[in-house]
Parts: sequence; structure tokens; C-alpha cells
Amino acid sequence: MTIDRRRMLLAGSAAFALTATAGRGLAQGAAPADPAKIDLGRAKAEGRVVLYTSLDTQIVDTIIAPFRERYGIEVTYFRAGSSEVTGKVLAEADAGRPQADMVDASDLSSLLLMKERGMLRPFESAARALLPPSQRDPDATWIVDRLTQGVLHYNVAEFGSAPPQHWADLGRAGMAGRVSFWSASGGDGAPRIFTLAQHLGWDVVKSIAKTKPLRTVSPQTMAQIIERRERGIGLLQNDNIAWRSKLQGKGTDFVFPTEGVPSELGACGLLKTSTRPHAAALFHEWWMGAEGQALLSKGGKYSPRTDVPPPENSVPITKMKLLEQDYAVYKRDRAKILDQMADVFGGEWGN
Amino acid sequence: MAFIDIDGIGKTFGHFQALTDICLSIKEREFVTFLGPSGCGKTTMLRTLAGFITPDAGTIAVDGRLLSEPGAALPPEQRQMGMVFQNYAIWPHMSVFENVAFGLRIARLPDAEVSMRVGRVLEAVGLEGLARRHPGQLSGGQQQRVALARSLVVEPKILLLDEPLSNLDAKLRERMRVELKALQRRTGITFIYVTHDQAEAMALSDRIVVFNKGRMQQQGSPRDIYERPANLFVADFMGLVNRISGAWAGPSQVRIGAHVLDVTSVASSRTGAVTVASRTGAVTVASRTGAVTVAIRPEALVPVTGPVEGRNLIEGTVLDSVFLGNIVDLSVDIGGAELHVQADRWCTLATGDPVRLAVDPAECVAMENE
Amino acid sequence: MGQLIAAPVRRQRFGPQNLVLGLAILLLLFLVAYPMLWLVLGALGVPAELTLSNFDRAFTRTQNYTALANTLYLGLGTGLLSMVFGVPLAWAVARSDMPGRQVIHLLVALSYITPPYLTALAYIILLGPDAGLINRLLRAVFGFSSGPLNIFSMNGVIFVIGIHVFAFTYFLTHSALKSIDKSLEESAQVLGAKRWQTTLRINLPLVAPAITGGVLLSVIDSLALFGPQAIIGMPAQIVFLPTRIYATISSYPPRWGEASALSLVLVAMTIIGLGLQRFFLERRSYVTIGGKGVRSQTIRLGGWRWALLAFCTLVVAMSAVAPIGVLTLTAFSKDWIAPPSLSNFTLAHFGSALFSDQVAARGIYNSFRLAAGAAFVAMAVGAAIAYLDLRTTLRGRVFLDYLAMLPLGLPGTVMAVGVLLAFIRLPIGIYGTIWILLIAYSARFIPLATRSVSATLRQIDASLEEAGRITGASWLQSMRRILVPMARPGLLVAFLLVFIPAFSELSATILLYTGGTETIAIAIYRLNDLGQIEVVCALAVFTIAVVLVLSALVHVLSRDRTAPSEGVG
Repeated sequence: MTIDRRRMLLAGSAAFALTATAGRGLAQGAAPADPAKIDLGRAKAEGRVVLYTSLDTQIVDTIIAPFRERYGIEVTYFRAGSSEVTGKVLAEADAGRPQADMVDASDLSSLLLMKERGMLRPFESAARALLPPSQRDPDATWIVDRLTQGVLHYNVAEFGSAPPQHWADLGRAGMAGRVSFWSASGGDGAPRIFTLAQHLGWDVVKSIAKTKPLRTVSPQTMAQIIERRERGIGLLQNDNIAWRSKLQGKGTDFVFPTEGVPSELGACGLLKTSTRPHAAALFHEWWMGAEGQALLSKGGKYSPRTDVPPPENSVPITKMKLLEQDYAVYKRDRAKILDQMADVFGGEWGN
Repeated sequence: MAFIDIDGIGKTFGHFQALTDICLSIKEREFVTFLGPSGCGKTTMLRTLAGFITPDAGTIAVDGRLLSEPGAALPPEQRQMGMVFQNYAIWPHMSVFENVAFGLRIARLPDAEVSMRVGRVLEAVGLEGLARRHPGQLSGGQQQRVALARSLVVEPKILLLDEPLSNLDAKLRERMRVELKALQRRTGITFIYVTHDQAEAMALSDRIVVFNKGRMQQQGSPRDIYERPANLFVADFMGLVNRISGAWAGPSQVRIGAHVLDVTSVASSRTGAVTVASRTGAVTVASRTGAVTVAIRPEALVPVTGPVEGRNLIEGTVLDSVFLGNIVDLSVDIGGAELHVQADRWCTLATGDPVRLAVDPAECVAMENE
Repeated sequence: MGQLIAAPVRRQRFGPQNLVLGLAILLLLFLVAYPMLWLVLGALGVPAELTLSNFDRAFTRTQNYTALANTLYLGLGTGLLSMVFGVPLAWAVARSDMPGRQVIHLLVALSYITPPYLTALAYIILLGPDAGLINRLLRAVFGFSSGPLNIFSMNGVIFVIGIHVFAFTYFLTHSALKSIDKSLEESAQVLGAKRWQTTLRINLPLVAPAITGGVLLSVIDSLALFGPQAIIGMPAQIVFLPTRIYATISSYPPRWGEASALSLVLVAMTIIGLGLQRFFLERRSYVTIGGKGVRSQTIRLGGWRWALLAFCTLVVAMSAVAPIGVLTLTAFSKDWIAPPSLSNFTLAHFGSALFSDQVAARGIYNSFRLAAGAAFVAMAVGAAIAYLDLRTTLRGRVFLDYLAMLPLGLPGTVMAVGVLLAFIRLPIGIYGTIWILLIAYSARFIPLATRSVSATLRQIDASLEEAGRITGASWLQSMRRILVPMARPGLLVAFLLVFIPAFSELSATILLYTGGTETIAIAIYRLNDLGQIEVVCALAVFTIAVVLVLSALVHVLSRDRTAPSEGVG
């Protein structure tokens, strides 16, 4: 490389000049309030959607691909754990540099917080009619896009024909060193553990914690741990991950305990600050539409839409006992709950 | 108006006073040498002339054009000077030709002229045929010539030389001295030369300026400076000298032990010009009382057998005698002091012999103690 | 000619020299001083309030002081390990007749340039308590019922970091041992000292400052290594300051004040460490550093050399061969749990990593352009600061030099917090773009570039530029035609010295990246979260290959670096 004086001079000034002008899109026209108002031409002109999501990238990729093909609109995503996605959206809003057009998080309380901060834009999705009222915002700022059940995920070789069937079994004698659970450092494994504790009592959770369960950072890494038999069984595994592991013949299986499985509502919404409102709304409708949700279901997730069948070979949601989470309480008491998690399990919960 | 006018230059680096009140006028075509020990300010002065250092006080003008004033200096490239550095500063990434051609290329001269002038100057310094070489393939002496050629090719009015010969071996140094002097005569360029070697300074210079501790001590022709040093420092620096403590015995007489010597007094003025006081006492020296030092060069003391008209006579005893080939080195005890004498090689005095030394009062320079 | 004295002198204020150097100073202030200022302000609760409560929280909350204690413990452990591994290896390679010394030396270098978070990933595969390959082997051979080794523990973290940072102790001790002149030892032996006495009484005191300095560098580095602390520490449920800082910001809502206060605590720890390290290394001056002229004595060990070789081999096997081997094997295996065989061989993961995976492909592209950009900025600023320090008399240049060295004491996590706070509210939209990463990388690695360029400039006498000036070249012309061409190999080394760590940077990136600005390290970290271990390993192998090739280039360039200045006198 040659370093001549012009470059020396330019290096500094370029950094200032470019950053000052880069990135800012032009002010957009009126954002569509419902699917009928989406202007396809505009959406294509906007050309791109930025999605912040906590969904497994393998599923995200399968949903994006046909959308991109059909509309020629690029979807780029930032993928991290639910709490980190939320943290990022909030931080960027603080910075006045919102990046996302649409946000999706596995934990509805994140969307509630964003709504509370006035960051979400109401949008009357066509899918609203197909969802029970509890799974959509009356103000239309968010909508549930997937249901995740926490299941018992175990290695078949470890337990043979008599796997544990109940949550309390994980805290029994003899389980020491065999259990695994997950939560990233931001504490996104906490909501479902909290739900479990609320419904079955903290004692169950504490007895599990006493077995010194191995912590992993995500459902996927927990699956890996179980597949390799690093640990025999996983607490509150994502049903879709357990389902995929079983389907791929990794020697694992999973159980929906009869006393109930915590059901986590994942939700999505459009951001007010989006500079690509038509493309974003178009993608939102694809994401929530029959085709998008079918792809989601194909990836192992339960769709909230009543017209989308459950994942192949899986138990219909109506056949399980769901332990519902009180999102309002969780949102309100989150800091305290995370402290509690840290007390019970130790380690980092972002509290 | 002189060609180069240095007026009251001062410079400090932090708490270090590098130059104090330097005043100097240099004529065109003159060969001036700044002489002094390391850290005396001679190189700082040279670099101030070149424009690498901005003075804190004083001005420098060349040919009526102001180059430096307190806090401001015309950059070196606009001064039309040349400079030869102690380490030659040959650019290792360029051939000899490109090194020499550099200044011409900067001036955007046409290629043909560049080739012609570089060829001419390489020939002048005796480097013909080496133009394609790279500096790594040259000897020290050849690098020296490249440095000279590079500064001469742009035809400067003034050439600054910073200890250019100090990295050469003794023989080569002798030869380069002769060549430098001849070159200066031939080109008519004003040379300003920095060295710590007094022999070199005397061999080359029209004028020597002696520096010490950032101040000018004395300036004058090599002979002036050698024979009539302005102070003990200069006397010492310019060669071997006997320094004898005594006391004033008259307007131009100093008592040393049993002897009373007629002496010459000198005092330096601000510009380092030397005023000479003869035996008749034409000029008064600040103090004629108390302690004084008389400086006498060893070769000025001549062993004699009888009285000599107009000379001081000193009686003593030979302590030691060493035959050195061209001279005989004697140590002589004169009662209260020991003198170093350089006698001619026919001298046969041996240890313990009484001796009588004759010395011209002009060679006995009385100086205030510092 | 011959006019009266005019005054054409004063007109240099805004010359190109001042412009270029002034711009570099501004850039340095902007990159380093401005974020650090915000780190302090942020810890004081600005702009919302002015309070000391963040420091109160930093020291009184269990989560925080536990992290602090763990970090200190980690530092002590890695320091010890660094000495236990580094000193014997350095002695064996520098002074003994042990066979394979060159290979050992190269493998230590390899473990040094391998990003430690990759070593951590490898060790989960190797030393997972139940499924780890080494544990399986040990159980099969010795019949343990479980374990026996658990990487998910404090000792595991110390081990994984220790086998990376011991290289500091190794290299410093090695060069100190190499620089002891034979005559010192010979004179001791003439006086009747036995060989082991010579080693203990003469060699050890002579190299003790180097050992201490190396151990301290190991400690400082290990405090800041977010990657292994997160990758091993999270499952082990052990929190360290960098992971704690990361968690306080990456959770919601982000707690800037607490993160800043914790960052300052971490900075205090590293600055104290660096101060001590400087103190000890300065005492090294009495070691006879002789450069080429030093003759060092080789000690014949007889049969013991095989025992020593066994120890050295074990260390480099753990630090380089095993982790890189297992990553490579996994990257080329269809099923990473299955044993390697031809039928299990595939290149598909490289296909995913380099082309089909959105994040991975973008990560590679971003890492290349960010590393190149940061290397260029750091090199340019570093060159200007080194130039200011060595070639000018500017008042305050010493301060600038210190400022350019300051990021050495700033872990990546801390730098990221400072940069986030500094640019989060700035009207120029840097946050959320790739520019914020460029800023953080440039700032982080300016010290490397400054030191490197400074070493180059010291070898080029100032008179070479001055000769250009007096021959008629302006400052810019003398820069362009004399200094820069001469310094070019050195500048390239500075460029690469920044490029290499920037290419695999994780600890600052993890807090600053966003959708679209993922780097290769982020792709590795995130895909690992998603359990895509094969693609992760393919990316890891790619990263190590890039870093290895560039490091080799640095080595070659540094060796040739002295060549151009020959004959300059």
C-alpha cells in the first residue's frame, strides 16, 4: 500500500464528513396503518428491511428467502437473545440511531416495554382476526407471532425407557450433575423459570438448582450439551429445538410434563422510527401471514394463527396444559425476579 | 552590510540556555568555522542558520533578507543553502544519481539539465562512474562526496557543514580537508563549518569562532586565536598551554614566585574582538590588582644560555626530559610552578640540569581568573 | 537581492505540517480522550444527574463485588500459570540443548496469535466434563466414573486463559535469557560455581525483572479477555468484570452508569498492573543487552533434556496443537461427534461460513474492511504522534504520547462502553453504523501502531529529512519522498500489527455491533450460541489461517526492517 500525503490529509476529514452524512434516509411519507395502505412500489423503492429478532436464524432464513425472491426486497437481521435484542433496540432509541424497522422477541414483556416507551407504531395486521384477543395488542402495536413451550429435553441413551416425566423429577436425588438449563447473561431464560415457579412453587425450582445444573447460553447450545450427553436432561428447553434435535436423529427426545408447560409468547411490532415503513409493513404481513407462519411451523414453532397447523409430528397445542405467564407482572418486577434468579442459580442474569 | 548578519541570537531548550547573544557578520566567500567542545552551541547555531531551529531572540539576515527572527523562521527549503551532515544523511532508498538529483527534481528542472548538472558535480567531487550505485555499496569517503555533491548541485550561496569529516579515518580526513578548502576557493561559496577539532579549524578557516556554553568566546583568524586567546578557555582549547598563577606587580608585570614577567594583556569585547594591551600599557584592563593567570604556549619557551634582549628570562631545574623525535618535551620546575616546554630536538638537557628559559612578553598573555 | 530587511518570515502557522499533525492530534483526542471523558462522566451519572451512587453500586452489590473478586482471582491464577509454563519453556528454548527448540518456539507463537475465544471453544469440545474428548479418553484409559476434568470451573477459565497469556512471560524471559552474555556465566563458573548455582544465582536475578514483567502483562491481559471469560465462565456460572459490564449493558434497560463505574474499576486494575510492569522492566537495564554480539551459552542437559522436552511438548500441545487441531477436525467433519474418517470429511461448513450464512459472510467482509480501516487510521495517527514526539519540540507532545499509549490500559469492553457513551448522543450518526466499530478499533490499537512507528522512526535519523529540506524540499515533499518511502516497511508492520488483532476483535465489538455490522468474531460468537459448531469451527480455522499468514508476514518484514538503514552511518 502507498501512503501519500493526500491520503494522510484525507484520512481524518473523510471520517468526519462521511459519518455526518451517511446512514440517514430521507424522510418517509405517511406510514401505512393497515395492509391495504401498503404501497408496493414504495416498499420496493425502500428496498430493505432491518429485522431485530431472537428467533433461530435457521428459521429466519427460511422465512426471508421466499419474501426476498417475491418482492426483491432485502431483509437483513440482527439476531441475539431476547433480552439483548430488547437492550439493543432501547439503546439505539436512546442514541437517536434506531436501526430496526421491525422487532421480534421471544418475550412479550419486551414489546410491552417498547410500547410503554412509545416506540411502536400501530398496525392493523390482517392476522389479528385469527388470533385470540390475549395475543394481540388492543392498540395494535404488537402481535404474538409464535408460542414457545418449555419442555423436558433429554438424551435417550442417558435415561433409556424411563425418562423423567415431571419438573420435580429434575430436583430428585441422583440428578446431581445431570441437568442443564439455559439463559444468556441478559437473563432471557428467566421468564419461563419464573412462570414455572409461579405455578409450581419456588421449591421445585430451588431443588433443581441444588443439582448444580450446567448453564448454557441458549436453547441451541443446551441441545448440543444434551446431544453430546454432556448432560442428560435439559430444563425448559424450547419445544422447537427439542423437536428439531429429535427429528435430526441426534438421540434425544422430549416430554410435555402433564402438570403443565410454561408457554412463552413471542411477539413482534413495527417501530415508529422506521425509515422504510412500507417495506417493513409488507414484511410484517409476510411474517404474520399464512405462508410465513407455515414456514415458522415447519421450523418447529407453534404459530398463534388458528389456521396454521402445529409442527409436523408434534402435540397440538390444545392437548397440552399451558402455564401462562403474567407478562405485566414480569415486566413490572423484572429486576427483582432477576435478582431472585441470581440468588437461586448464581451466575450472571444481567441484574 | 555584511553578507550574513547574525545579531543577538539566543535560544533556550527548556531550562537549557543553548545560545546566548550570538552576534556575527560573515562576508561572502568567507570560510568560517564554529569551533568548540560538544554541547557548546556551535551546532545549534548552524541549525538556526539552516532554519531548523527558530531563535528565541535576535535575527539572522542574509544578503539583506531577514530569515529568522524571534519565534519565526523561514523554512530551510526557502533559504537557498546547502548542508552536509555529520552522518552524511545519504538516502538509502535512492541511487547516488537520485540522491544528487533530488534538489534539481524538487525544483522541477528538465531531465536533460538534471543529468548534465549531476554528471558535472559528480565529476567535481570525484564520483564519476558511481552514479548507479546505492549508498550501501559506498565507502564512508564516497558517501561524504555524495553528500557534498548533493548540496553543491543546487548551487547554494552558503554551504553549512556539520562536522563532515569526523566519521572518516585520519588519512582520509587529511585529504578531504585539502579538497574541501580547494573546493571552497574554486566555487566561491560561503562555507560555514562546524567542528570540535582545532587543528581542522585552523587548517581550513579564514576565520574561527570559538563557542563555549552557548556563548561566543572569541573570533578571529587562526593565528589571532592561537596567539592571543581571549580567555583561558580559548587558550586551553586551541592547544597546549602553561597556565601559571601569579599576582600583578605593575601595569603589565606579573610576579610568579621569584620571577617578575613582562606580560601582554587581553580583554574580550562583547563581539569577541580582541584588544591587545602592549607593555606600554595602552589599554587598561579591568583589574590590575590581585591574582592573575599567565598563559604561555610550551613552544614559546626557549632554553637559552645567556641573556636575550627583550625577552623574559625564567630560571628553573629540569624535572623530566623526553625525546619525541621532532621535539624534546621538558618539565621545568621554576619554584612554585612547573612549566611544560617544547624544545627543539637538539636540546640535550637532562633531569636535574639547571635551565634558563627565554620568552617573548607578547607570548605571555595575562588573563583575569575566571 | 540586496533589498533592505523585509519580514517574509511569519507565515507558517497553517502550513501543511501543522495541518496534518494538528489533524492527527484532533483525531487522537476524538478517538481516545473523548470516549474516556465520557466514561468518567457516565460513571458520575451524567447527563441525567451528578452522583457517586454508581460507584456505591459497583462495590456494594453482590453481583459486582463477586465479579471483582473473581477477576482478581483469575489474574492471580493466570499469573501463576504463566510463570509455571513460560519460564521453563523460555529457559529450555533459550539456553538448553533440548531437541526441537525451534518447533516449541513457533508453537508458543502460534498459541499467542490464536484468538483466545477460539481456544475456549476448542476446550469445550476437549474438556467438557462428560462429553469432552480428553475426558472420554481418560475415562476409557483409567476407568474414572465421571469427569475427571471440568472445563466449566474457575480452574477451567484460568487454564484456558493461562495457555494463551503465558506467551508474554515466555517471550520476555526468552529474550532476556538470550541477552545474557556468556562471560557473566563463565566468570561465575571460573569462581567455582556449579551449573545449577550459576542458573540460580546469576541467571535468575538477571532475568527476574523480565519474568515479573511478563507475568504482570499476562495478568493484565487475562483481566480483559472477555471471550474465554464469557464462553467458559457463563456455563461455569462465574462472573468476571468484563462479562459483568457486558451484562449490565446488554440486558434491558441498559444501566450505563453502573457499567461505567465498573469499567473504571477495571481500568484502575489494569493501570496499576501496567505501572508495576513498567517499574519491573525498567529495572532490567542492568541486563547486558548486546544485540548481535551476545554469545549465549548452551547448557547440556544429558538425559534430562528428554524430560524437559516432554514438559514443553505437553504445554504447547495444550496451548496450540490440541485446540487448533480439534477446531480444524471439526471444521472438516460432517458429524463432529463422530471420529475423523474419509467418509466423515466435508468442505460444506466452509461453504456455509464463507458464502451461504448471511451473518458469517457479512462478518468476514466487515472484519476485513474494519481491520484495514482501523489499521490505516491507527497507523496514520500513530505515525503522526510518533513523529511529533521524536521530531518536533511541540509543547505537550509527551502528553500526546501518553494519550496514545493509554488504550493499552483499557480493556476492549471498557473502550466499548466509553465509545458508546460518547457517541450515543452525538448528532453525527455514528452509533449503529460500522463507523463506531472503526472508532473503537482504531482507538484500541493506536498504541500498537504508535510504538511500532516510533521504533521505525528511531532508526531513521532526522538528518535524512533535514537534508531533504535544506536541498529545497518542502515538509510535505520530504515526508513523501524521503521519510515515508524509508519508513514504508515499518509502516506496513504497524499496519499489520493493528490489522491482526482488529481482524478477530471480540470484546469491544460485542457491545458495539448491530445488524449489518457483524464481524467474524461476532459470527463465531453468535453462531456458537445457536449451536452451529461446525460452521463456527470453519470460521475459526479461517480466522487462524488469516492471522497466521499475516503474522508470518510481520515476522519477515521485521527481520528485513534493519536493511534499509544500513550505510546511513
